[in-house]
Amino acid sequence: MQPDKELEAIEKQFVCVRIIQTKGLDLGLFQYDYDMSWAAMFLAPDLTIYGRYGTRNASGPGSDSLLSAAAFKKAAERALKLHKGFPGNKGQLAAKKGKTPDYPVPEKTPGLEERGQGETTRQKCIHCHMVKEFALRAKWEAGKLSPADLWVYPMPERIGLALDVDDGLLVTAVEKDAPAAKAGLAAGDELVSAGGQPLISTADFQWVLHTSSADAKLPVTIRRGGKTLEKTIVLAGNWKERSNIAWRASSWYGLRQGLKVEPLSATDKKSRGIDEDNLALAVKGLFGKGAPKLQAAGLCNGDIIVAVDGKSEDLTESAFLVNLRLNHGPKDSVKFTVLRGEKKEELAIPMW
Amino acid sequence: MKQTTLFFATSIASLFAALSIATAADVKLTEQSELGKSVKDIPVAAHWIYDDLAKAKAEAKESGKPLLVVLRCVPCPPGKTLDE
Repeated sequence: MQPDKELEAIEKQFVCVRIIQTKGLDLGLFQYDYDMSWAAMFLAPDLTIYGRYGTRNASGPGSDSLLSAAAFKKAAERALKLHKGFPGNKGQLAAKKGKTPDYPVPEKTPGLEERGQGETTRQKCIHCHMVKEFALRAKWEAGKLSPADLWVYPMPERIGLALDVDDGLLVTAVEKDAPAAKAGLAAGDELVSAGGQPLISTADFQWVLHTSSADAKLPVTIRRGGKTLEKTIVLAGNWKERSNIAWRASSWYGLRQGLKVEPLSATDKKSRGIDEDNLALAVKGLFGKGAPKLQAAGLCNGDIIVAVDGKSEDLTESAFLVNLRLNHGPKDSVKFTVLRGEKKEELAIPMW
Repeated sequence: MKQTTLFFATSIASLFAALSIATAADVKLTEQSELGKSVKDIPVAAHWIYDDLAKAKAEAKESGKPLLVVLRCVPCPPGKTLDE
């Protein structure tokens, strides 16, 4: 949004609005990856959705690695093309709108009601990630949390596709034997539509994957060397699961409740006398509202968690957090075995 | 030696930053909300409506133009790539 004449000319073909907080946002319409700190949606004047922009799969220095001004421009240009074909293409766009959400606006989500009251200030802002975060927490507290709530907006890599960051829809690589390869997709192809929905960006393709069932035959239209081809990607099994979700800000209250852990390197495991295949997660921080319960149960910064409920199977931070929330309810207690210096301790931690 | 190099590099970067701010100052900007000011949002060009979705929806309906809605969580550091 800083001066860029080419982008400005594209932007001026839209009514542009910058929204900096989500209070009052119609969640029936604005469904996107809420863990994005910068996301865009393109819509017709009657609010039919043309598409989404914004993809992320990391926190820290790599947070913005999948954002690109070039791909944003392309998404905007593709949205303008859809606008030219509107309303004739309205039927194809219908599935870009999601199902009725659990809460119509963010401030109706348990835990966010107070932020909905009065004037929105810096302290009372409802951040995008909070929309997901508090909904996850409410589901967990109601005993209704499921894997589908956790593994959202799958990356195209989950089905063996790598897409160009500066284009969004250009296939740069296809993983051997993965569903995309079996469907006959190849590097150099351009995705045009998926599941019958015209695509404008990687985020749009993620939306199709997000809303697709795990077992599905997904029709895709591609462009290859000037030709338009129809392919079918056969999806089956748990391809949506097991990806890293620890980067998601929504994990903070929803899953980790202030507990930050980091896997020990192979060298550190060896120096601590921990088997290579054994769980070894170093406690790197106890933050926020969850911290007092963890501290009261005896967990300390620097502890190395080597078993959970007696199981010492090695886990990533993401898998550790997911297992805790999917396998335990709010009234449960979980047993952590931790190494503190040379000493092994058993801690009974009430789920927090 | 390294510190001296770093100092000069930083000074030059600051100079360029100052120049680009001066250039940006020639561009007409839209007025930010109090919330936008308090979270120190970036300057936004005048063709953008600031944090008022109802106004944008009404304008799109009236003009027949499509809508571009950017959802930006300003206090969260990721996303600066596109703001800048």
